[in-house]
Amino acid sequence: MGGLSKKGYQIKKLRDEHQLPHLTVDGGGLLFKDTNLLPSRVEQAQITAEGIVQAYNIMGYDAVGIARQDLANGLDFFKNIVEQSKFTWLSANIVSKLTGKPVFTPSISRRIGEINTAIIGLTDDRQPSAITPDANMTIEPWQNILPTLVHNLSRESDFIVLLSSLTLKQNIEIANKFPAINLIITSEPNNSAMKPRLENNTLLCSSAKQGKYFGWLQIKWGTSGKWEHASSELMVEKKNSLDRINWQLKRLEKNQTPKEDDRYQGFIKMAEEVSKEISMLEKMAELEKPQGKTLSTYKNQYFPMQISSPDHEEVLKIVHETKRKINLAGKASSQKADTSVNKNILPEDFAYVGWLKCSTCHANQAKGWQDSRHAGAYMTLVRKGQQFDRSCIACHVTGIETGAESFALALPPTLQQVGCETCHGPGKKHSGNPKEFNMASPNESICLRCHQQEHDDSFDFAQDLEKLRCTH
Amino acid sequence: MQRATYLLIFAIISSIFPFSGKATAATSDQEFMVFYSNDVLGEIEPCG
Repeated sequence: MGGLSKKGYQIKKLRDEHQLPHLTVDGGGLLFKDTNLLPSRVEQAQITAEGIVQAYNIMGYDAVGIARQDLANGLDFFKNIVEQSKFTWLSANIVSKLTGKPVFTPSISRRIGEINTAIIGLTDDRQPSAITPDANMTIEPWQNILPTLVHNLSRESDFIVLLSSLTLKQNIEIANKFPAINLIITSEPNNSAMKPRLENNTLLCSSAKQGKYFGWLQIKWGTSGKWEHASSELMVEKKNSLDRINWQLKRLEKNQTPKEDDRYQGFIKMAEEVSKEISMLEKMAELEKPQGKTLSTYKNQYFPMQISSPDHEEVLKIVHETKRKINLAGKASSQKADTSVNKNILPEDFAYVGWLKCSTCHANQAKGWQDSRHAGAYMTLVRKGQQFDRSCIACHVTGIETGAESFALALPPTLQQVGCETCHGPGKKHSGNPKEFNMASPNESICLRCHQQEHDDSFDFAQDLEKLRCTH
Repeated sequence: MQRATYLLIFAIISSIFPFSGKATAATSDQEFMVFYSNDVLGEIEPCG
């Protein structure tokens, strides 16, 4: 995620421009990608996690929910992270098996302008044993935790925020059971960016995966403590839908389509139905408006973390320093794999021969490949000082599987590219006996090992295959 | 006499700090902002 310094800049800019009281929160899943860390990546993952916390400290976060993957490196490391954090990590449902009490801070209170706000954290409980087998902790279902907690907090708070890594379905259920919770920030891994959704008296918000966007809510909190449904996304959607139908009707009228025409009658019927729905929503909004009190409204906007956006200088320094530490740690831990120290580090059955060997029979293809970006894939890491970053290396060389990155330094120079054998498979047998052993043709699943959406959102197998000149 | 004194003190305190069930029960609309994010996934910078 290269967006931390971009996010830092945008948040500061919006705060400076609007000069309004504010809250800055994260739903969780901040530190690690998965609930299990590959042993070969633990050290670098720790450095990354610490870098993210430092950046969040600078950005002035108030609270972050604890998701299961945040605990992937064990309780001791996480407690250390909590100590380093200037914001509060929240989970109300990770509880001690011995005492039944929360292990971490369950909720905090913040005064935002004139509003007393409470922030609660809830951790996904789908696999309670996966993170806490030896720590005397368990993740309780939200049903056991929320009733008392929300009841107590609602007596002293005007606005309650829940930071939740539960599923969308569970969050909707919570919204319908606890109207005192006014805002849920979700961080379910399978749920990407969505429009804010109003359920009962709760607004559900989620930003995009991998921190590619952050969300900005401008809230006008009314004296009734209730959201106005008339301005909800549903109402806006219905009004837009009616506009589109009316536009179609006008188009048909302009073309002098007879009113008896099936299409015309179909649009008339649709317009009537949508108008009825809008009228019903307006009536509901009127009914729920308490006498003499105002309803609450919001505006939401997502900000993409584009490369062209300016950077927050202090956060950028943290990012650069973290990258430097990651590379140093990778270099140090990979010394044993250096060919000059241990020539036998590669597995005995290592079956890759390198592009130079291929080129002896396939000169034209090799020449075409040399002009491709695949040929310079490793050098892009070297230029950026990331050639020892184990989370990068497997996709920038030939013959290294994920989890076996410690072999990377043992690779001969002819494998320090994304070479022929990355797409066609290991060539040792073929180069020894080309008549008996054929090479495979590349298929999309091979490309997708690296060209996943998170790294390459414009990947198109057919088009990109054409660009590889070795195919001509 | 003592009980009456306590009641009087309670009445005075209650008038200064009324208990409404909600903490502040603001009397006018309040504007504020919430910045939110999720799922940073531990990658501080893309590779290469």
